[in-house]
Amino acid sequence: MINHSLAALLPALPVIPALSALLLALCGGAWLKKGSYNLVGGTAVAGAGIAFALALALWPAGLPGSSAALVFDLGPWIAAGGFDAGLRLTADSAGYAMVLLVTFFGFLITTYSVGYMRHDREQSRFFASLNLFVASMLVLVLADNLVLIFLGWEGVGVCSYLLIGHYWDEKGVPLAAYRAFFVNRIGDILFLLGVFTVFAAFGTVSLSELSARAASPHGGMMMFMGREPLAVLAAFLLLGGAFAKSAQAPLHVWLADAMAGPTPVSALIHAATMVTAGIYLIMRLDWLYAAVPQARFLIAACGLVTLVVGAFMALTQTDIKKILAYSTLSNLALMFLALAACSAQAAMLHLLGHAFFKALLFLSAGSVIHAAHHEQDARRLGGVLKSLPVTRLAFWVGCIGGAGLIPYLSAGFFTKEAVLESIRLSTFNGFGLGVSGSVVYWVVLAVESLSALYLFRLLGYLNGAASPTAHDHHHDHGHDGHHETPRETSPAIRFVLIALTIASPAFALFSATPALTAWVTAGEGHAEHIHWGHVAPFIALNIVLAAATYFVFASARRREGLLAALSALSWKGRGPLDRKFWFDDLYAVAVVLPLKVVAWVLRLVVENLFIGLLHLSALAGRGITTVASRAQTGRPHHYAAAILLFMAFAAWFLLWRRA
Amino acid sequence: MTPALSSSLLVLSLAFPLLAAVVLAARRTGNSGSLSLAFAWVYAALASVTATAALTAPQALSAVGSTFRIGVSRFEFAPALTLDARGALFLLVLALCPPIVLTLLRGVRSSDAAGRDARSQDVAAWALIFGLAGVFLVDSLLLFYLFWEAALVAVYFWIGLHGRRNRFGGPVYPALLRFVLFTLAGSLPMLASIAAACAANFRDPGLSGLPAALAHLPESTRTWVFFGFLLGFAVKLPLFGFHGWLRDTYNVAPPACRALLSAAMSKMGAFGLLLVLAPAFPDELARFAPALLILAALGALYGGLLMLAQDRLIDMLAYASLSHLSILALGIFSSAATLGTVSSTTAGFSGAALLVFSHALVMAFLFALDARALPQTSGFASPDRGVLAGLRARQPRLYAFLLLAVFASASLPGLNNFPGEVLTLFAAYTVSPWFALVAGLGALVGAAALVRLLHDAWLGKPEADASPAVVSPDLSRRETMLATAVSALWLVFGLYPMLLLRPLERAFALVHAAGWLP
Repeated sequence: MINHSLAALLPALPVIPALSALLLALCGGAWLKKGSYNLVGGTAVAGAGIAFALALALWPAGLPGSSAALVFDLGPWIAAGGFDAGLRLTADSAGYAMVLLVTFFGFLITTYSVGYMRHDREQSRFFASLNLFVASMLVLVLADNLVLIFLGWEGVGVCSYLLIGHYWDEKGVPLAAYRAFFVNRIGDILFLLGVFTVFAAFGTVSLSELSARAASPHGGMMMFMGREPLAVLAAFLLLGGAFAKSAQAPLHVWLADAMAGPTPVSALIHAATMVTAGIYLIMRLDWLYAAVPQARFLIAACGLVTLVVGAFMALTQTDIKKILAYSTLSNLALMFLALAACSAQAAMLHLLGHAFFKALLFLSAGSVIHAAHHEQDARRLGGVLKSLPVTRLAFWVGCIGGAGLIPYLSAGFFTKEAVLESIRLSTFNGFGLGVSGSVVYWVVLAVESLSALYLFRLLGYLNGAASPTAHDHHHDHGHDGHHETPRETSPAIRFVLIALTIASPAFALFSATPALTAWVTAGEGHAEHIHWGHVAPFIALNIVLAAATYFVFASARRREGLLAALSALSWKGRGPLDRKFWFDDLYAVAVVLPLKVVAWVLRLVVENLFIGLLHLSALAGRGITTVASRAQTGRPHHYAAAILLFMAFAAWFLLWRRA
Repeated sequence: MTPALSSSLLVLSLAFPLLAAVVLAARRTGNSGSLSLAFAWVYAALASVTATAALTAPQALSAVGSTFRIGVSRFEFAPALTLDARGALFLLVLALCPPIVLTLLRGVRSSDAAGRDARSQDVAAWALIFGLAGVFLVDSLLLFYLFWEAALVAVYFWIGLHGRRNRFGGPVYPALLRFVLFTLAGSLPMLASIAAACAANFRDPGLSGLPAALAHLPESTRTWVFFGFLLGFAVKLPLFGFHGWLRDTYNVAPPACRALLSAAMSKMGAFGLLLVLAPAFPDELARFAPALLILAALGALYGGLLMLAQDRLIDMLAYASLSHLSILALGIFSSAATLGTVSSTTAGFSGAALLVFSHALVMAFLFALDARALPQTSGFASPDRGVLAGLRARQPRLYAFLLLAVFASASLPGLNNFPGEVLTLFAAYTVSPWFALVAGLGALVGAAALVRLLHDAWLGKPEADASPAVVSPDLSRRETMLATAVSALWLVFGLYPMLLLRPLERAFALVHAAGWLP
């Protein structure tokens, strides 16, 4: 049984970071002017920290593994004419895991940012957005109905947009922010239409009520009776929203550009938390997707495309953050594939595991970028890790975690196994097609082994020999103090890196126990047993791949040799990897161009028609008056004739016509 | 609240703008700006109190004068004022928009800085507010029409005396003439309908008595009367197809006039649809709902698409207004279409009423900021894509509030437009998902266009020649406080819309009780 008295803490979770965001938005600028940098950072850390403390304070409620949920009801939010969305917060077992995840990473990364944004003159805006993000994410996680989820959903979207555009006067940054806004806006409209469809189909938008109805023995059957088309429509529309937020093809194009934001943002929003919101949404709607196999088939198809695009794009990027961003794409695709296989449990597990290793990777990358004065090109950062001991350790742990190399050390190992196992045991049916799970399993397994390649390629660059170009680069900026070797100067950054370097393997150990599975499935699911004999060869293969890649890329000579050999394969800048698999071109041709053409045709033709209508009526009026005034000739016999004619007509009408 | 108190509040709310106009006109000295602003704040307090009283009262507030009998036919006419929760939102618009506009545009005067000029602007502004207050408050049809045209006359003189050449260098008058002709083409048929309604009863039935007065008319006559009213409201709103006056009028109008046109005057159309047509012509509305719904949904999409093809903020805002008001109308028509059916819902009415209030709060602010961003003498009439960049470097606070306002207008949840838009789109969805989809697409495209323009003009590397002659200074302390207060209102009504929704639902249920299946 759980302790319901703690439910009163639920509203405080989002409210406190929201308040500190408000405080920062109102006073932060003034504090910065006075030079109180620590006050700004401190307020933000306090906001996120108190939220984390509150999340920990919920522990005695006994949520993990329990099928009950904490509920806090504040009455109606938007209710009129039969439509009803309440201000109702709820936390169940899996939801509590999300709350802990969001507040834990929110707190750590806010702390990290205090070091990372040390010299930023607009950091009050940065920290306000970061706190607002934590608040919105908590609303998203805790909301009981879809409309309230939409409040959090849009809140995190806006914070993401604001933070991507933080360096607003730099080239390319406004465009990156705009793309994130636009693509997410597409998803938002679909989401909202999906919410209406759910309401039209089932008469409520409350998720707890819907899933309770679906879970009841007879209700589940009755629920969909006669409403299949609406249910299918709702599933597809909501999927659109989830795809935009969680960057699945074809709505994934914004994520790589989003790396224009400060690195802590990439770690928190575009890796650990916000981009998993779509997965979380589908998880909470699992009763719906269980009933709509077509939607799951679409998830699987788009997931596979995203998986391939992400993994291959990560192979050729040279910007550290873009490598990690594309790797995020392909990991999100893994979670979606688990959802397509009807395994919310595996998706949730990998969501957690991915958060640990990807946040660690991004934060290590941030430490490198910070130490190297915002240089992000891996080719110019050869051997940079040698002078950054803490970051080096963190990077290694992160790469091993991400590539899933060593079972009890890699945060992503058991979670990825869970996903793969769920895919293997499933079949994907829809639109008259059926694909066996084992086929998909082998494809995913092959593509996933690329993660060892791209992560250790990056590690090879950063930890290997110093690249000659690095020196050239330093000479370019010869006089601005870039001569000294990069050093880890910020205690905040070091502290967070150490904490996550410990936490990530700790999670790996935890993920091997059945306790975590029980937690994310409210005690219902059971951990898949790992067949070590089956898995061992792949572990070995991955380790060999990783070692070979590292060996090649750690040496400038071997690396150049390989790249020269590979350059023959390039299609002179027109290949799929250079054109990002043509998705940007697709948008330009299929979305932007038609919109612009239609808009200009409307402006130049249709809009003038409406004004022209007035001119036309003016012309007509002038014509009538001209004709009428011609009749006024001034000659008496014309008038006499007119009078006679009229009298004849009147006589005819009155005498003959009437009779 | 005693009847005496409530009726004196109503009379004061109507009389105050007239008083203000007279006082301003009677003053001899030049600068009337600060007095006008002071009046605006007093009126904000007064009208807010009246509106709150109407929102909290169980019945509509009313003030009835003595009955006159006119002419041989003993035509019966009683001047009366009335205000219920639905009308209260319109009065709130009048209460809150003038202080916003006048504070932000204090420095932005017509090109002719002479005192007389500025004073006639302020007189015109208060005359407009008087006309609007009359439209929103009176209960008699004849007075309704008088105030309706009084507002037009005020705007005519405001633009005529202070308008500036439009973007093509064209003179003011053709655009103004077009505006007047369009509006008259709508309001004269409305006059005919009012005459028909009065003649049928030998008395002025008033807005509240209109449903009963029309009940015994033959159906074909009712239909004609309906179309007369509809035409008047459709042009004023404007509905898609009746918007030919929109862009050029906004272009030539002085900044404050433009802001009030979009924020307050367009609400005359909304008032007519919501408080005159919906209660009095439920059957006609339901019968013609398909065509009207198509017009409204098309308008939302059309406005959004045209925003994509504009280069200047002001033109975009003009079409944004069209797009948003179409969504508002969509809500009204949707609910009207469902009345009496199984899926009957008042969500569209309530949502539209919420949108009246929030659209005004956001649009007044946006139009004011648009004019505030660049000095009128700079040669740019409005922030333009590709001509300027990096304005944010000089205007960080202005940009922050502008962005917030754009998000509010894009119906971000948590801000005030969202509850209204969700309810209107929900009502549209219950009629047909296609209407919600089309309107949603319009909103999507429009928001994208606005954000893109903001990026082009305010972000990026600042222009080297962004001198004070070209770029206005950032918001002052006073302006920042005002902007903060306005955004606080957005937040409050976005986070807790039930403050307005409860009284609204009660009022709509009362009025539409016959057609509304619980």
